[in-house]
This record gives sequence, structure tokens and C-alpha cells, in this order.
Amino acid sequence: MNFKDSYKKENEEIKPDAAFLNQLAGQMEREKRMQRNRKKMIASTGVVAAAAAMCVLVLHGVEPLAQRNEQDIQNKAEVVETQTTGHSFGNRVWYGDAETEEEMFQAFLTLLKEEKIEKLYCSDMEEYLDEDVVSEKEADKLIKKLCSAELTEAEADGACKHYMAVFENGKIVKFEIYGDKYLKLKDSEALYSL
Amino acid sequence: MKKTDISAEELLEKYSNMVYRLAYARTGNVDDAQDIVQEVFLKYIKANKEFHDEEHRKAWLLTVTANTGNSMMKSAWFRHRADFEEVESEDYYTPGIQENSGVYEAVQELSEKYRVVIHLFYYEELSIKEISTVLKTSENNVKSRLFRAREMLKKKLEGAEYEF
Repeated sequence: MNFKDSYKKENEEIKPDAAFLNQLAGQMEREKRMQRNRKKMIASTGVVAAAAAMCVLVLHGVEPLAQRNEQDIQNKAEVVETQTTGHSFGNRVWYGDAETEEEMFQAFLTLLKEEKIEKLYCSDMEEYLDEDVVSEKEADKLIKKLCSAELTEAEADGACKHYMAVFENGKIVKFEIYGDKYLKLKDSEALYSL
Repeated sequence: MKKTDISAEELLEKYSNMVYRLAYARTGNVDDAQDIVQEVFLKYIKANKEFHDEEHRKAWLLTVTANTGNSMMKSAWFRHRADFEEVESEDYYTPGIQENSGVYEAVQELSEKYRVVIHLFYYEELSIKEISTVLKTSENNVKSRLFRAREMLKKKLEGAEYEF
């Protein structure tokens, strides 16, 4: 008897439930529609933002970096992201073609190693204000720790601090640190020990 | 060829069985397999990736299926539950299989890393090199998993004298 033939034959009978597939098809179509809407919104936001930026430049000259607020940084990120990779920042797609959690983490490490962080925010909630910006010294210390993080099977333990790293190339990465011991990237479930 | 060239229904019709079978081979559980299938197809839509051809699309789906839910399967809760189910289910129940030779059950009794390699090699008919790309591991690792899995299956299926 041939193992392959038997295994193939028995596998043919393993099928997903039709009701589940119908539901999934609906979910996929909804996601597609949402994606189209996001693209339209970002395209129109980009035009408005560019026009507004021109007005600001004409009326007031170049605004100092320190005076830019969080929304400005986010807008900048959207524009840079859209121009460089075709992805919208609205989707939080900072990890390029990464498909797995491990690839996302590697993309994050590459960003940390190759790009400079313009601002690193740390907050108890997922909302960031100017006063949440971490000092350069502390940011450097944390970056060193992040670069040596390793995947762990432990469970997140300790108080959660929310971080947002704004890179000079416009990309923004959000992550959480639990009890100064564990790192978790936003959009990923994997946990890394620090 | 762009991924959006194909509708959700067409995509599911063409690939849902393939994704589900690999997900089921990994988890051995209908609910977890469905969770993986859902995550894979939603990732597909969100990624909005361009594919050179159908082979490229298929390889992407297999890779994502093989790697999606890794954290779920590594969680303490999942491992604990898997141990519990192993003790509870002396006769392995496989929904969908009416008559069988025991081959599928024998494969499902192997640990996940062996089940996935067996599935990709014998069902999807991928080469060692292709499997190593899908699983993001070395060819030697795939060869050794395949060898060990075959040895274990020979023992489990003793008496039936299968050709591997």
C-alpha cells in the first residue's frame, strides 16, 4: 500500500464548514471595502495636508520642530509612508512585506539599527502628549535593550507602558513594555524578553 | 497579477481547502483551524500583495498558514489544553473522515512539527527545498523531521506495510 495515496485520499474528506466560509467571504469583502475607503480618505487628507502646509509656509515661514504637535508628526508619517512604499500609515503598515510575527520583529530591529528615532513617547495609556517624550539618554538605553530582545514563551507580567517611536524617515512603531521585562509590538501577539 | 484580481469567493473556492487542511494538520482541532483560516485570508486582503503567478499566491498562502497562530500554539493555555485532549481522546476523532485506513489518525498523533512536514511533503507534494522556504527553516532540518516522522509512522502503522 502507498502511504501518500492513503493520506491524500483521507485528506480529501477534510473540508471547512460551508457556513463558516460564507461568513468569511463576507468579512473579506467588508475588509476590502474598508481598505478602499481608507485609501480614498488618505489620498484626500494628503492633498488637504499639502495645501495646508503650503499656506503655513507662505504665511509664517518654517515652523520649528519643537512646536510641531503629535498630529503633525502623524501626518508626516502618512505622507512619507505613502510616498515610499505605497502603503498608508492609516493601516499602521510600518513593517513592509513582513508576513509573520518574527518578520515584523526583524523589521522593527532593522528600523532601530538603521534609522534614527526622532521622538520616543512613553505613556500609561495609548495616547501621547509632548510631555510623554522620553529623554535622548533614556531612549538610547531602551533601544539597546530592545535590540537584544529575545522571543519568549512566558506570559506578559507587570505594569504595561505604552510606547510610540517616531523615526526620522516618518515611520511610527507602537509597542508595549510589561514590567520592564517584556516587549510586545502592536499588531503582534509575540512576546520578547528584554 | 494582482491579488485583487480575484474575488473573495473565487479565492476561497480555490484555496480554502488547502489552507484549512494545513491548519487542521497543525492544530488537530476544528475551531483552531478555522481561526487560522480566518486570520490567513484577512491577512491576504490586508497585505494587498502582488503575485507573479498562481504558484506564488499558493506559496504565500501556505507560508502564512504555516506561521499564523504560532503564538497561540505556544501559549501555556494551548499547550495545557493539548496535553489534556491527548489524555482524554484515546480514539482520535477526525471530523469528515467516514472510512479510513488509520493513516490520517497516525499522522495526527505525531507532534505538530512532524505533522506539518508530512502534510506539505505528501499532500501538497512540495520539495524539501520548498518546505524549508515555507517553514523558514533549513533543508537539513526538514530532511531530519521527515525521516523521524516516517520512522514513527512505520511503528504506528506496523502490520500494514506502507510504502513511503
